[in-house]
Amino acid sequence: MAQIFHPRANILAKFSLILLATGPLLLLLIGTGVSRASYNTKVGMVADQPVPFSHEHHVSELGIDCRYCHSNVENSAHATVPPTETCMSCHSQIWTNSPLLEPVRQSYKTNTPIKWAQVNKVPEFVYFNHSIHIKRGLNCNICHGSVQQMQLASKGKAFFMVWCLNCHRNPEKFVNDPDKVFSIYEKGLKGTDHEYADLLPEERDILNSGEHTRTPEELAKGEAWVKKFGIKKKQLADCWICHR
Amino acid sequence: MSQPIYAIVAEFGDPDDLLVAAEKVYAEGYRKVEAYSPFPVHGVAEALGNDCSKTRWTCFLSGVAGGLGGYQLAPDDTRSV
Amino acid sequence: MSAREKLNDDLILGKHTFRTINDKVNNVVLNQNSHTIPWAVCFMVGFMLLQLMGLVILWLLYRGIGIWGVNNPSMWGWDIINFVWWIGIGHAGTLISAILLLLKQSWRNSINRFAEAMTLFAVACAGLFPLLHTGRPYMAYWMFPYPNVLAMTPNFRSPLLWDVFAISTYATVSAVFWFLGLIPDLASLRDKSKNPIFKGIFGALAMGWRGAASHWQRYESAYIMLAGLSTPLVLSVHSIVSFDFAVANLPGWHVTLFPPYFVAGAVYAGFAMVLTLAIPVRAWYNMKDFITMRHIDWMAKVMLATGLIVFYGYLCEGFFSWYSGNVFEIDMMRFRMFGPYGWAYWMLILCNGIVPQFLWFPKIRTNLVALFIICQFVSLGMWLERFVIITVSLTRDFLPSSWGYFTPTIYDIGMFVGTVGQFTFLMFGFLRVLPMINNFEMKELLYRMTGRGHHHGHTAHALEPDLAGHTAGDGEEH
Ligand code: HEC
Ligand code: HEC
Ligand code: HEC
Ligand code: HEC
Ligand code: HEC
Repeated sequence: MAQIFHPRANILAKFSLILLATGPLLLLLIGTGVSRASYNTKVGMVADQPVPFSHEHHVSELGIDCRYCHSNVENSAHATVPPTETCMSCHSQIWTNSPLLEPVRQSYKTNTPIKWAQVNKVPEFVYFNHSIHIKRGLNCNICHGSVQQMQLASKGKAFFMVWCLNCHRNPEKFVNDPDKVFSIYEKGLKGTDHEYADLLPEERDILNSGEHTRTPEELAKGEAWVKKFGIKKKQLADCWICHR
Repeated sequence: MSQPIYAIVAEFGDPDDLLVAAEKVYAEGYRKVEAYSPFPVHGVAEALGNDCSKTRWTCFLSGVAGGLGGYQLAPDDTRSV
Repeated sequence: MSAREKLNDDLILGKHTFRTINDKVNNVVLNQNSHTIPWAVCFMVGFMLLQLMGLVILWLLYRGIGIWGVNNPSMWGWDIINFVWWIGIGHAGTLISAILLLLKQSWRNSINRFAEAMTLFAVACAGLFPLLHTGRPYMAYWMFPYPNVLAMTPNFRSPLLWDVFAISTYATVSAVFWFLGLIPDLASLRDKSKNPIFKGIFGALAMGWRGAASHWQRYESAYIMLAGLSTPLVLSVHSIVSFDFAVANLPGWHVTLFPPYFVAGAVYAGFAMVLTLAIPVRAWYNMKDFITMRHIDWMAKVMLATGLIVFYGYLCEGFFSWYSGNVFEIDMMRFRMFGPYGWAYWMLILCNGIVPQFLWFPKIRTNLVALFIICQFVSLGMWLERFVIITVSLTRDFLPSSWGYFTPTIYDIGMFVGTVGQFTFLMFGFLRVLPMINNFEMKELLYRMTGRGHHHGHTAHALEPDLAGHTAGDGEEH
């Protein structure tokens, strides 16, 4: 009988067997990588905005409080993006000729809102509420990255469910004094050259990246806050909290 | 000069003859021998000195690894709800 | 010949040599003219029903599972009934291939191949139902515990998750087992095939099988190990399926009896299906020498035995609900018997309990027409069993205010008929492209039946009948 296959075909046979065993694992790894990649999550990607608004300019250099623009963040679900009037409270006086501000002036004149592209969004089936998180002393940067350093706003965190739960299961790792939420931006401003000299290590980390792993003492304080707020840890990760 | 002999092939009409031949060939000291049959003839492989203990061990260890791996799948979240 | 005589048939009839067995088995695949009109009819009907199911599934994906009859209070309906039914049917294959192998029952040799194929195809039909019932089948991977961005692990305390593991393990092990058994036969087809393309395909699938003694040795040890793996599966898979119900706190479901009687029911339905296929196929392909009356008789006996277990289960259910003194259990039994689904219950008792009693008679067991008809009763009965268990309990739970009546829609029927079509389609496709009888095992059986140290040209026929069935262990010792 003539040979059907070249002896080299043996390699193929072995390879196909190995692939059969490792293939599912490989697929899993690829899927894992792709779903977490910024290509999918859009973390760090700026959106096409009508006006190149810079947080770095207005927050870090001018020292404007977040609440001046995101006026509802403390007491409503949505932080709200400021209306044109808020911009015009300054820009009717300063930089009135800047071409970059033309859309703002147009919007003010024609009484039509600016169409900002939203970068942070959770799906419709998720209920999120800013006010409770601010009231529990969570700094904006924990969830949005260091906004005060952004030239153009981009997403700081992927808002995966695992990420929400990571905090909801262990809130003591994050909760803090509600009075500090906005004051640390101010404190940061006073630091020399963005070195944030007189900030606590935790505050410096939060300002720089939003990421901080608490030391045992900080954790103890966090636990005290959890107690003080009366947070029911057992319930906080229940499905109905976020999927209503 | 005569050509060196590379191999010899023999055909048997009956599985039992094959078995007898295998035993003899092995007893004569031949080791690079293989027997082919269209269905398993028990004892031939053993007569030729094959054993598949390696296969068995591989299977056993893979089984143990798979079992342990399976337990890893279960969540480590031991909160009592 | 009287009925009794047929029961003593050898396991291989006629004057067969290794060559004739080989030719006969391979011929079905290599000579495409061996497939006649019955094949074409079955295949085409199967194919058409499969297309129908395709349409139903498309509509289902578009509209959602609301097009089925499932609705409050009967959130499970035909989908799970069909699922359990099909999974059960698969069990005969595993029983034949694994347990009978370990028990060294030679009569498995001629029926194991297509019984295993049947297992695979039945699992393929069964798997569709839970998959589609998720509503978003493309998210089915959520059912597995893998590190994900939702921080969610499936609930390991849920029998539905056990199902996922049971069924996927079952499907994998069955497929590997089946393929492993095919390798030597694929090599035989490779060697005998004249068509270079088929030669190539069979050759690639045979993965370099040469039939060397070392190959056979590894093959056999692997095969035995897989059989060992499959054996607990025969029992565990349907036990776990039964937990879907038994773990729930619903009258009529919360029964410790469920696992054993589901397993028995599965084997029962499975053998009914093997016979349903074997009886016509052996006639169409003239395989009467290999699938003899003795095979058929023994399969019928297995059916009778498992049928009795199942019937005993029904009696126990009735007894226990009365003996429990629990008002819900008692009422449940009343509803089953005399409620709106009473017709289904009594049909069930007829199909699964009464009709199979005919199998006590050798005359019936050797009457292929009667046997075939009984098998249909059993298949129907096993379907009704799941229907009764599921619908009655769901529509008659603790609160009369939540009672209801389940009515299937045409899409339920379409799905069911569609899977029957898929099964037929796959089965007859298989008959055409792969050897339906385990070629080398039959040759080995012939070798063992004729005993070692005898002359050539053995004819199995010459043997005393008794030896034939009971020589399984003979070739073993050396
Ligand atoms: C508290 C006053 C104040 C408010 C409110 C304010 N800005 Fe400004 N903005 C400034 C000042 C001051 C500058 C000039 C900074 C510099 O370059 O030194 C500026 C600069 C800018 C520039 C850069 C102009 C250029 O040509 O470089 C843009 C664009 C801009 N602002 C957009 C906005 C928008 C949009 C809003 C409303 C959401 C807004 N600003 C609200 C004070 C303000
Ligand atoms: C001068 C007004 C102003 C101030 C002060 C300001 N923001 Fe903004 N912010 C905006 C505007 C306008 C946008 C929308 C344009 C954009 O996305 O860049 C925005 C967008 C954002 C976004 C992204 C919203 C989205 O699209 O998902 C975040 C997060 C944010 N701001 C956080 C902050 C934080 C934290 C502070 C305080 C440290 C702050 N902002 C202070 C005006 C302001
Ligand atoms: C616990 C995490 C968390 C914290 C803390 C947080 N945000 Fe957000 N923010 C979110 C999420 C999640 C969204 C998306 C909400 C949605 O899609 O409805 C969001 C959206 C926004 C948006 C755009 C859409 C909207 O809801 O108006 C702005 C602006 C914003 N945040 C500003 C802030 C500011 C300012 C602070 C600090 C005062 C802050 N956020 C603190 C999680 C957080
Ligand atoms: C850094 C910590 C942290 C992160 C991240 C976080 N949360 Fe929270 N969340 C909290 C705390 C603390 C509370 C307050 C619990 C309490 O006081 O009982 C809370 C409360 C809530 C509540 C309850 C509000 C109510 O009215 O009861 C919702 C809803 C919620 N979070 C949604 C989300 C979602 C959605 C995400 C992810 C996109 C998220 N959270 C991320 C810490 C966090
Ligand atoms: C702290 C808030 C939070 C809690 C608690 C929570 N989820 Fe989520 N869930 C989310 C967020 C945010 C997303 C969106 C994730 C994304 O877009 O990648 C999500 C997404 C999902 C999704 C994916 C839906 C889809 O179609 O992509 C499922 C399923 C889900 N959650 C189930 C649950 C279940 C079950 C529970 C309870 C065990 C639960 N969630 C508890 C925040 C939460």
